[in-house]
Formats: sequence, structure tokens, C-alpha cells
Amino acid sequence: MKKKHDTTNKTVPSNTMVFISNEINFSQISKDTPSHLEIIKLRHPRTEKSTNFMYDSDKGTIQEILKFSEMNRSWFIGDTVVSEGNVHLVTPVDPLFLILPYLNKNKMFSTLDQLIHDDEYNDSAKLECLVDEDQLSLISYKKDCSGLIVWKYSEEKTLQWLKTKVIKVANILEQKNINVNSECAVSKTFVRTVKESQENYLRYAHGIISEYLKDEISEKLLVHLNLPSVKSICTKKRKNNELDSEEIKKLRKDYEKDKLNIDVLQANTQTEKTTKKNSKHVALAKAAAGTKNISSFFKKK
Amino acid sequence: MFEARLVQSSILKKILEAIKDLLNEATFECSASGIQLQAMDNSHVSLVSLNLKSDGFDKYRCDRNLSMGINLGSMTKIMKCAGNDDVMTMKAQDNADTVTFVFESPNQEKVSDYEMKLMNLDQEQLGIPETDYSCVIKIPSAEFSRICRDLSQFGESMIISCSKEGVKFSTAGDIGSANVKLAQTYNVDKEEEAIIIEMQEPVSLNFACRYLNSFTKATPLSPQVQLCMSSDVPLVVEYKIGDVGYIRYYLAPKIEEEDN
Repeated sequence: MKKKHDTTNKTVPSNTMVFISNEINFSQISKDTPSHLEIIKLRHPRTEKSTNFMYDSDKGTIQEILKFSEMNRSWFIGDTVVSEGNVHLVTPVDPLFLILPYLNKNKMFSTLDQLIHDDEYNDSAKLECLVDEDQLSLISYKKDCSGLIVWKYSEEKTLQWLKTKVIKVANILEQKNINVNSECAVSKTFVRTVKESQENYLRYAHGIISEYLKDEISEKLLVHLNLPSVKSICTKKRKNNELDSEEIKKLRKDYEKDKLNIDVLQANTQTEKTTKKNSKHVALAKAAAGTKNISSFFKKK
Repeated sequence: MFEARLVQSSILKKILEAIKDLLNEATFECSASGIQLQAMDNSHVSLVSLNLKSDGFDKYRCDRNLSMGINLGSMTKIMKCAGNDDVMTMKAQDNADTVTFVFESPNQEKVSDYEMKLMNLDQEQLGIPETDYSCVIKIPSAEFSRICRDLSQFGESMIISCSKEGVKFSTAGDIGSANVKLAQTYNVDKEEEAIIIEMQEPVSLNFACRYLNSFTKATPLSPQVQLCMSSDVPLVVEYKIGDVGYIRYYLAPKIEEEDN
């Protein structure tokens, strides 16, 4: 699992960094052939700050680089000491996360290379060969104009795609028995007797996914996942603190009941009523496609 | 103080049925001359314009102009509480935030009143110019409703074309195509059963079937419907409401698929 740059060389260049990766086979890299690995700078999908990514032109993958830095650490490589003691973890990242902010910004149908064009970060053009059309269709509408394929951001599709991601992460968290309780830390050997609620897993997974998302999408995703926002829970907690324990018990019961009811209600109404009503509206909106706006014919008063 | 009394409360029931498919909420503008309502659907391709004259009511009083923002779903619920031959009275105070519906049974034995909260709606009003249309077609409303229903099975949009021979509704879709031709009728006993076409120039326009189908929800209001068309302007579908007023639907034509 641990592979490093240039272990055979006795002298190590001064700008050496140490990488740990599951995915990349460093032994293939020799000094003579030009490397298919490249470190490129891209915008971070959440903060928009300049961030390093590792681009593999052979496999067509992009990996994010996570730096673990600690004071007073150096590496021995061969016979040399490398004073830069940081550990760089390289893990694959879904290129859609990197494309999403560009797509989100552009409100019109555009070709992919136009979409990801970035004056400050020229390397963004490399993203184009990292995704295929099927992948892009997960977050956008496709339109084929006589061979010219153009794309437009779809919030609905994106949220659905993110939802499946969150659920996948939540399942892994549950499988691996990872502590997701935000109120207490737990030792690794702790044997859980009460199962953590599904909601907590989802919330935690949402947090992980949100590392790669703009805040507004992250909030919409929370709504899409039917998770109440943290604020409302906080206020509830604060209220609970002011009441005595019996009342808390009662409240909690009520809250649990409410939640059940709400869940059932939501499930029911969402499946039946809203779909019935929404489908009507959606169908009407669909039928409106291609029709001119009526207000373009009449003057506003 | 606003007060409007309608002996046939069923008229208002039918009006609501005719607009609630397209609109979720709407503002009823009450003035001394009557009640007006104008609103666009959510997709902003059609416009509903309702006009009820004050003379049409059995008793009408409106001291100051009043805008009542009403959730049509809630109003439908209230109207469902009225019997078909009940006498209805709508009441509101000046600057009120509620409106009251009073239903009286014909023999005055039962009087029920329902108060409904009003909403503040911010809807833009459009000025609709009086237009001379190239084609004005009058057909029995049931016939029109039937045609729209039949053709919408075939395609999402239908072409209404009016020429010297008559009016033709046509559509095409996955199953195949459909055409319905109506010729002008002569020698009919009742005017509302006749098909009357007044045409200056031939017109052919394309419209979304689903919207036309929503308009035909107004069929119970009137035995006859009037379609007005000119090229490149919205179609007007008008149903007269007895001698009380009318409801008009405006629908923008579909634009031909542009080649990019």
C-alpha cells in the first residue's frame, strides 16, 4: 500500500513529497519516461480556493490530495533525509463534484468545454476527458443539436444523484460501525448495544458529501433527504433543557410520535397527494414547453 | 362594505371548477361594476380572465374597491358545502382580511356561513387590448370539449386551422394522426347548436392540448364556446356565463421548433 517516489535513487531531489495511495502504481514511473501523473491546480468545489489534485492521464482519473502535516517530522528515503515530513494521501474523487460548480453557475445550455472553461485555472479543461456522457447526464440535461452536444444543470437530477451518494456512504458507515453521534466520542472497542438511528448515519454521510458541495446545494440536499435542519433541532434541545425531566420524557415521546406521524404522513402525502397534484402541475408545465410566454403579448399595467 | 348575492350558487361552483386546474390562487377584484379576476397559470403561457357584472347578481353592493386574494383550493372546499339550489351571499368589510360566504337553503330553514382568510397576492395585471380577430368561431361547448379530449389522445399539441371550408382541428403523435373538420351549419333551430364561422383571413395555429383540455372544464357554464384567432397572437376561448358575465382563456400559440 505504501509506495513512494524514487526510492531507488540515492540522492533525493529537494522538492520530494511522500504520497500514500491505494490506487496509483508508482513503480511504473521511472525517471526516463515522462510521467502520466501530474499535479494540477483546480478550484475546490466547495470553497473555490486553489487546490491541488493529482491527474492521471493514462487511466483518466483524478485524485484529491489530502495533506497530513505535523511539526517536527522528516522522512528517510534511501540514504537521504527529506526535511518535508508531510504525508500526502491520494484518493480518487468523482470528477462530477469538480464539474458541478461550473455547471451550476451556467444557466444556459453549453458544450462541456465551454462550461468548464476557467480563465484562472487552465487545467480545468482536463476535466473534460474524465467524464463520459452517461456520468454527466446524472447531473444535467443533455441536448443534441445535430452533433453538437450541449448540457444544462439540473437541480432535480443532481439532488437525486447526491442522495444515492449519501445513502451509500451512510450504509458504509453503518457497516463499519463508525461512531456518528455528534454529542459524544466513543472508543473503537466500545460495543454498541443501542443501534444508532438511520437519521444520524444519513446526517453524518451528508456532512461528508457536503465537503465537496457549495452550501446552498448542501442545504437543498438536506431538504431532499427529509432531514430537519439542525437549527430546529437545536432550539428544541434548548427548550428541553429548561423543562424538568418528566416533561422532557413526555415531549420526547410526543416528538417521537410526531416524527413517526410526520414520516408516515410525508411518505403518504408525497407518494399520493403531492404526486397526484404535482404530476398534474408538472404535466401542465411540460405541456407549456414550446409555447410563448403570454405576457409577451400583453402590456403590463 | 362588499356584498354580492347570487341565487344560483351553482354558477360560482362551476366557475371554480373551471379555473382551479390552471390557478392555485387568484385575486378577485371587486368594484362597483362587478367582480374581475385575471391571472396567469404557473407556466405563464395561459391567462384566465373572469368578469362578473354587478347587474348579474341579485343584489350587489361595493362601497370601495376591494382586492381579495383567495386560495382557490380553500374556496372550492367551501363551495362544496353549498347545496346546488342554495342562495349564496359573499360578504367582506372594507380592508378586511377575511371574506364570508353565507348559504341559505331555498326554504330558509338552513343558513350556514363560512369565513375564509384572505391572502396577499402579488400578481401582475396585464392590459389586454381589444383586438379584431381574423377568425371567430362559435361552436357548441360540448362539441369543443369532445374534440379536445379526443385529439389529446393522439398528440401533445393540436393545430387549429380556419379556412373558407370550415375549421379543422388536427394533431399527430406516436399512434398516428387525427383530424376533425367542422363545417358551418345553416338552418338550425337553436343558435347554441350551430357552428358559426366568421372569417376575414385563414389562420392556422398550434396549441398545447393539455391547456385546451383545462379550458373545457368551463363547459358546464355555457352551451356555446367562442374561439377567436389571429396569426401570432394568443387564442381566446370564451364561455358566456348566462347574463352574469364571461370567462375568457387566453393561450399563447406554440412556436415552431427552432433550429440551432
